[in-house]
Amino acid sequence: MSLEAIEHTETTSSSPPRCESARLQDGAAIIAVAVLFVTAWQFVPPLLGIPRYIIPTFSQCMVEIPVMIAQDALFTQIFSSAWAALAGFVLGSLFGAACGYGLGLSPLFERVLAPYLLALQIAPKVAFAPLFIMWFGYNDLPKVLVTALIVFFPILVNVLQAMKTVDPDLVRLARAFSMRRAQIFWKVEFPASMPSLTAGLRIGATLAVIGVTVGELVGGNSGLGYLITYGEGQADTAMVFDAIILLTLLGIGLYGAVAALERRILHYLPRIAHS
Amino acid sequence: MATELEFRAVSRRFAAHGKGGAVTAIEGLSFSLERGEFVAVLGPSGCGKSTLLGLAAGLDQPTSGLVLVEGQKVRGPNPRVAFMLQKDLLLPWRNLAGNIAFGLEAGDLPVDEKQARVQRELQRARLTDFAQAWPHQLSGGMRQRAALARTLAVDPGIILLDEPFSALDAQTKLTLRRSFAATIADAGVTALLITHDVGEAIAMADRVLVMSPRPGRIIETLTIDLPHRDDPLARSRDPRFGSLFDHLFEHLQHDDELVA
Repeated sequence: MSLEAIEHTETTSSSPPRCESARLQDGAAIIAVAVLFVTAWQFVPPLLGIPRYIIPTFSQCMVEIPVMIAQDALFTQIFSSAWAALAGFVLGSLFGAACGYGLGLSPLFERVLAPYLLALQIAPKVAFAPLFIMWFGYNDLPKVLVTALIVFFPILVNVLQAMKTVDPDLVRLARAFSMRRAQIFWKVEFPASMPSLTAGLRIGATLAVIGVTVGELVGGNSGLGYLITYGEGQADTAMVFDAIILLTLLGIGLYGAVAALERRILHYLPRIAHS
Repeated sequence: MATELEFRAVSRRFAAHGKGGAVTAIEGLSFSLERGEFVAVLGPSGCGKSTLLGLAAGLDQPTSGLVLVEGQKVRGPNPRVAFMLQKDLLLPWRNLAGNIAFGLEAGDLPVDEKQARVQRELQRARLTDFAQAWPHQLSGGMRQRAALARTLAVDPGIILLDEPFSALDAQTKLTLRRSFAATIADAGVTALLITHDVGEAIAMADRVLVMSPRPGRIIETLTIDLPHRDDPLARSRDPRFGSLFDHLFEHLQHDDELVA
């Protein structure tokens, strides 16, 4: 045991101090790029004579934010988009995961439904937005549904793939231990699918913002996507820029939350624990 | 002595997908294992060794013939039989204690009893200090010991070992064989070791069965009359080891030439 124990401690404690300084350097470089970018954004367009209705400078965009808070209920719009993104994401994830596990458990259904799923996956989901508005009217429901529809597929595909690639020997082992089908699912297949499920959720988190934006662009009367069309109508380019930035931040927030969840779920994988 | 596992004229054919015609994996296989016996099945790759394991574990049914465990026909997975493979098949999301408990979760043992069994096997495998460790933190040898502990935790009458050492480096192999031999002797279970390593078969088994290439049949049975079944290293130093090795090796060679 002693020999193996030494091997074990050697592999787990892989020189953290060097990692730390490298990470600090990376962080400094990332911030430097941001500073460079904002500086260029502030000073280059005026130098080239580009007017503010084409490219507003950084400071003009920042000045626009309090105006939007006062005149356009910015916080309400952010909340509206965030709520729709989250609701659509959760709804799409739940349905996508449920269908993925369901099809994974039933090869017959999977074979029969595979071509239709592929067709639905290829169909441009954003094109459904006008349809949902015709069906459900000018409220929050269409954008939630478009978001859910977009999020649905990557999660379904990832979960289904994971179910199909579970090590068959692991299933044989569980069967040899006289486990029932449901036990095999909950004790082997479901946990084994976690890395794929969380990878699907990460893709879904980035797509959720697209879904919400499209829903709001097409027929919304609230949300950041609506502010984009509104700003466009007013030739208020700074407002469009701000809305895009805020939507991006929203997406980063959602993605960060999913990534944090993933680190918690997959704590047992060495490469995720250290990243 | 009671017969623990018996194959009676067992054949298994598989319908070949697409190619047409069937593949006969094993044909007319007959042998039996007495209680507490350690038998090694030696054969070239693709001789149906894994098919044999599936049949004994109740995961597969023979096309003809009978497989009996403790005199009962095998109709499905049987709690008296447990197996382990070359891959340790530890669940990466469970710590070592959780992995050893895996096989116990199918049955309805009381919680105390499950915990006691896990502790017992951790101790027997000398892994008590690593009960809370994750599989990725362990060396290959430790992982295989944990896999054996999981196999023994269900208190099987027979354990089936499908090349459990073949993925390990030479040094670890020697250490692990000794560890396995001692553990199996201590647990007192009947063991069927599937291997393609002649030296391993002689060092560990009471009896060696040699299988032919596909369709697998038993072409030679050799009783290993050497002391130290619980210490393969001591056994491999026995002067008679060499002649047994030559005898078995010739049988394997002979069949290779037949194929070529």
